[in-house]
Amino acid sequence: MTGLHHMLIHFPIVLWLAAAALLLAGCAGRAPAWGSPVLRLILPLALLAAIAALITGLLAWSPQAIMASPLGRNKLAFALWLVTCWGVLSWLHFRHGEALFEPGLRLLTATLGILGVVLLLITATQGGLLAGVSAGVPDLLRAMGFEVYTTLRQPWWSLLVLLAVLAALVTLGRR
Amino acid sequence: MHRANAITLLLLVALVTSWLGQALIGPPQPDGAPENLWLPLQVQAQHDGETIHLRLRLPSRNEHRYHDVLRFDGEAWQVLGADQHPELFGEERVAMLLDDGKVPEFSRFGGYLLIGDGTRFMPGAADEDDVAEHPLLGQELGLSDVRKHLPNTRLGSWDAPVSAEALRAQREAGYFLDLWHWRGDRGGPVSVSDDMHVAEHRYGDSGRSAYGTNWDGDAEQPRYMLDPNRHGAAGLRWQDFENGNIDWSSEPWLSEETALPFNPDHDWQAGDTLPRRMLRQPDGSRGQIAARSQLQDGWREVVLSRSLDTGEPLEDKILKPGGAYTVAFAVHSEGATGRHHHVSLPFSLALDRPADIPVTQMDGDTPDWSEPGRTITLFYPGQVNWPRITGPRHAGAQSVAEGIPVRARHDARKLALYGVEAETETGVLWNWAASLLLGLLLLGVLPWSLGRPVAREQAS
Repeated sequence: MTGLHHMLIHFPIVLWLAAAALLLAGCAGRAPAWGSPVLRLILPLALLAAIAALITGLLAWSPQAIMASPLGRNKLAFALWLVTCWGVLSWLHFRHGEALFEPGLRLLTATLGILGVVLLLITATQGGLLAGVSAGVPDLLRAMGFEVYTTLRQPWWSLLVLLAVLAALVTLGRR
Repeated sequence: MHRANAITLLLLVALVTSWLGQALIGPPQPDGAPENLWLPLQVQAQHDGETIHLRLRLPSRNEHRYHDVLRFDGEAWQVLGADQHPELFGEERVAMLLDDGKVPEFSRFGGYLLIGDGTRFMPGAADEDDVAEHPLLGQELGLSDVRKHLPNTRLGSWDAPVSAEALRAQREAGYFLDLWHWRGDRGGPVSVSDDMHVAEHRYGDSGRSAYGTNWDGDAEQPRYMLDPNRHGAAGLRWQDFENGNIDWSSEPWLSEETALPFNPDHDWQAGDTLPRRMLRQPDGSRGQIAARSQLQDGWREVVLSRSLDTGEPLEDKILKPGGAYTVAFAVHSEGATGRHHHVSLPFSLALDRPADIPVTQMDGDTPDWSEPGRTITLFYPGQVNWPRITGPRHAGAQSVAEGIPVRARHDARKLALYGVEAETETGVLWNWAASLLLGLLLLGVLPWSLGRPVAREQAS
């Protein structure tokens, strides 16, 4: 299953990077005319390929082994956030189309697009480390305060802020 | 502010907060774990064809630390050690495991190999009564706990050893590790290192060790006291420990040459303190490693010297010019006891051959340490044992089974971080799960927060 995961994971990486380029170009007002139809095609394709890669990745090791490894836990968390982030972007594009590039929404679109790329970079880095390969990104992340070999955790004050942000988003949604 | 921009701002607040939280929280800090998870150890070695000299240097700020002491509280004598006062007690120790290739897994996995099922200080440690009652381990070998042992001395769990005949055959075939164990208090002051070995148990070599206890259990009092004529008093003062005013230059230890029999009629005052260890000259195989130690410029230097061939092939690894071996190191410092030490990965050591630690031929009668040595990074290993490494909870168990060395996959940095997490796993998992869930909810709720208002705006 590990080999299949390594093969499948290339598809969402390429498709999401292409999608990010088109989304950011759109936010900058430089979207090509064919941008939106292409996005409508590659975003669902990338999501499907990513879900397949996620499933094969989960089956590469036993759940027990994934949960016992700090790197395994982090990879799982980032992979789930990555798929969710691009799932949200895919949904927003499906729902709002080119309105995503208009002044009201383009800041959010650009933020999610950049977040999607950063999550992709970190998730792929962790995948490389699990396969025994490092491209130096862990050192960069470490310098920025994220030790990839330590399980993602948050202090209590940070969890409280995140809960408050969640409450604010829910409140906005209910208005 | 436009609703989407408000959502973006909230998203950025969440991202910055979580990144800051992750950066500030640091690795977990289990009870008893050293504050610094890594420690440098400088290693140099030379030989003269008869004797090998090993120079080990580690950061230290202690002229000396007693392993433990006996303190008079005004009515009775109490034993005090690192458990009660880790800031004062717990001797410094440097240990080296040595193999000649007869334990092939050791060169790949180092000391992890020795932490088997039931090992003391680890989760699932064997009950001492159960060990004592075990027909082979307790009744025949006289053991009362499970210590470091080699995996093939068991058929699985700690209480399933191979037969006594098989253990003897393994030993004669060289299936054991030599253990050079310098103890700063228990032997250090009389310039010897403990000579031990690990097979089905961690044993001292045959012969007399360099230390005994200064406690008379029947009389519930010390056996010996300091010589007032030599040390100015029959005991030390507790306040001097607390204030760091012990005069180590007076060599205030109890040894066969200098100690006086304990006098219960002496005017003992509350706070009077005596070493709990009685030092003596070792003999037999146990005392074959000479040791010199000094503190200089914040570094503890320990020079261990041993004959290449001790004549004890069932307890020591015999070294030969041109030979290649595997070593791994451990250091107990700053009051660390038991498993709360720093350890190294395995390294090659070879006489007159290239190796991680080359042992060069001496030019004169004394070793020349002017050339720089190898600096090894020791790390805190946490509660990771051999069953975990070879079991289903380790994703690399298959690689271990295939014989892929630990250094091909892990380094000291990663192993220490993994080690402390293995020790605090439940708390780490809960926090990770909460963080993961919050992240998913924050992302997942975005379309809902945005969707309805946009739809309303479009409808209007």
